[in-house]
Amino acid sequence: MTPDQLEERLGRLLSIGTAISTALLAVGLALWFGLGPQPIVQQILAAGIFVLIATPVGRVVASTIAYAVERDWQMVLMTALVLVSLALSLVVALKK
Amino acid sequence: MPVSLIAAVMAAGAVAGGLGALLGIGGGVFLVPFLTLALDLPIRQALSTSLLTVIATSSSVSAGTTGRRLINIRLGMTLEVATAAGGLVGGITAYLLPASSLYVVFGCTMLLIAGVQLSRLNVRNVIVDSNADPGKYGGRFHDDESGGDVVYRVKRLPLALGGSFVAGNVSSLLGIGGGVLKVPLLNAWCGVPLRAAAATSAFMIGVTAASGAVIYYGSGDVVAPFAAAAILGVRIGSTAALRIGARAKVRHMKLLLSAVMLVVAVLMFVRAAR
Repeated sequence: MTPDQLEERLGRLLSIGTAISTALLAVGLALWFGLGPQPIVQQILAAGIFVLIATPVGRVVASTIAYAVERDWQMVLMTALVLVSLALSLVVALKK
Repeated sequence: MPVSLIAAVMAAGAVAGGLGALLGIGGGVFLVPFLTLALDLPIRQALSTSLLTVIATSSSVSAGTTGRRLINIRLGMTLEVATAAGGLVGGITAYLLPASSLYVVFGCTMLLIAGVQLSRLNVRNVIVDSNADPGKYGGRFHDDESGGDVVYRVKRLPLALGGSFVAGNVSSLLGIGGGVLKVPLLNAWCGVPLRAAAATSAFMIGVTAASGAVIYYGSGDVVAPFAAAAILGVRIGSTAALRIGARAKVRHMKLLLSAVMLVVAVLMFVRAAR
């Protein structure tokens, strides 16, 4: 995979994630105006926020896989270190 | 929660997202002062709302700029190691340090970088020879202003890594993307042309902000309707700005970025003085 192809695939991943989270947040906000803070509305909004945060994380995971296929071990190490940092943030968040 | 307040948050998101997309920064530098000073939101709610909009800006802007080779993926992913670690440390210290001293440090940093940026208004980093070797971390892209393919080399990578760690730290602490630090640093000291620096920074800040956002979310400081309103506003603003961004002159972008930093510095000093 050339750098241009990688860029293109990551771009597609980011636009899909953005579209899903935007749709969930738009629907959630519209329902929030209509129905108020019902549990289902809260869940839709939470799902939108989850997809939003997961999108760049998924982009890093996809890059790690792509670099591993290319046997570009230096970049595998870099992206893996990023994932370790993100995992540690999750650990800190869960302890709160 | 009144509808007008949510509409105001959405409008603020649109303005912040538009400027953010144009400058390759998250836009949080406008959103945080606006949410805290004008709408009187609690600081941590403002920070978490802003961090989430940073992620939205990063994803949509990066998806929109792919195909133009402006995003330096190899450089971005390498620097992300530093920004993600910085974001983690910042997220932890956000609950330990006194906020007022941070605002002052931040304001001073903005003033310093604005000064450097203004002193280099007419300096360009591109090599207008499409056969030049970009090196391991450099890049090559089509530059409309020079009318052809241009090449650049990355200088002082350790400095870029150190700056990225600080940017990640500031990102979590102040609810911004950190691009406001990284873009001038990469441009003024590391040899990356402004457009490539902005695109690469926009690509990185989603991951940086994710590490901070997770910590705020875990602490219960994310207010979903505010976040949704701000994110949708940012989507509208950044989409509009992307159409203008490709046509804006580099010199004008540098001037706008410097002006933004001066305003942010003043806002931060005002905030610290309260």
